[in-house]
Amino acid sequence: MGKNNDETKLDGLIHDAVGGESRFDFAKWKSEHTEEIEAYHAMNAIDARIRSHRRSLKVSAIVTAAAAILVFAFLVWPDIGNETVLVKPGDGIVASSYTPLPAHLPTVGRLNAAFAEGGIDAVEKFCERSERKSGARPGRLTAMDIFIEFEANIETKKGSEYENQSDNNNAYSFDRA
Amino acid sequence: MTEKTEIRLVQNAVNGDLESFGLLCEKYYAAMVAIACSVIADKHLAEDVVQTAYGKALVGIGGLKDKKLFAAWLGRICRNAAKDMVRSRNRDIPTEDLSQVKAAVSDNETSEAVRDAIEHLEPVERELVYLRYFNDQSYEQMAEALGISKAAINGRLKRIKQKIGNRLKDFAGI
Repeated sequence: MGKNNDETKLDGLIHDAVGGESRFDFAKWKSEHTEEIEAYHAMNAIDARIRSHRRSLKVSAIVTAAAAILVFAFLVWPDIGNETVLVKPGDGIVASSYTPLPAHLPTVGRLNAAFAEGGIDAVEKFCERSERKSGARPGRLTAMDIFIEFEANIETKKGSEYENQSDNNNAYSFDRA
Repeated sequence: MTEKTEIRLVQNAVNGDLESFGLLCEKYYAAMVAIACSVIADKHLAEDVVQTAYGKALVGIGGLKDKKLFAAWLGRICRNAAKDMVRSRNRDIPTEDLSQVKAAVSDNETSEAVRDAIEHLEPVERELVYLRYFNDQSYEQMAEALGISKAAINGRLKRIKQKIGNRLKDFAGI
């Protein structure tokens, strides 16, 4: 009880020593701080412009992403796993616009799986198939070959008569005419 | 004012609504003056400091990331503004000077002893005393202004009062 009394008395003493009251007059403050208020409004105007710019950037990013998805869906996706022969065999080189399936890529996991399935023969077979599917390049390639290939890509898909070519083990094995 | 209302006001102020900023300033004025007073030890100077600090806060409110921490953020600005004022006047406000400043309020000997005891507290403790006893802030208001829990405030205040009490033991009647 005595302790409580002491505490109450101490509260009163501290209150007497530091107590006070303050009221804030916002209208007066505004009239005395015009510079800060101007800066605040100016910054808000800039912020609003930045926000609207960001919004339009977001919209363009979404449109670009949608366009990319459409391009992928209509142009790239149907080609995945298919091979298109672009040049005549007589030119000595065949370019192919092949998009390999992930299943055709010779990863460590797939090589292990092939070995477990049928030993070293299966691994060899898998490697051959991967090479064929991913259109591996020959060991030597001349500048003329590259030029021919480049031109052939421009001509695009002339080789309907070479449909059977994709079955060959090496698509680059044609002799020059 | 609920927490939601306050967050909305802060958001409005960030988006350019000056009146929302005014309402927030009004709500925390007493607490901010108490904080400044604990540094500068003069009510009128503390009020000037808070008014200046409000100007700084208005310009910088766009940078406030966590809207819930408006009061604590404002408190920090006021504290720093008060410290800046002390520095700019090139005086560290020694205890004797403070007692003289306070003497204008009351020349009662006991009050002077209490003020002296308060000025001998750590700055953080002094701030808590001013927040509690200047304008009779509630624990909730103090917790908002300092960004700490009510329990922590309660515990700290008890220890501070004990310190003040020990210092006042020389004076009769306590």
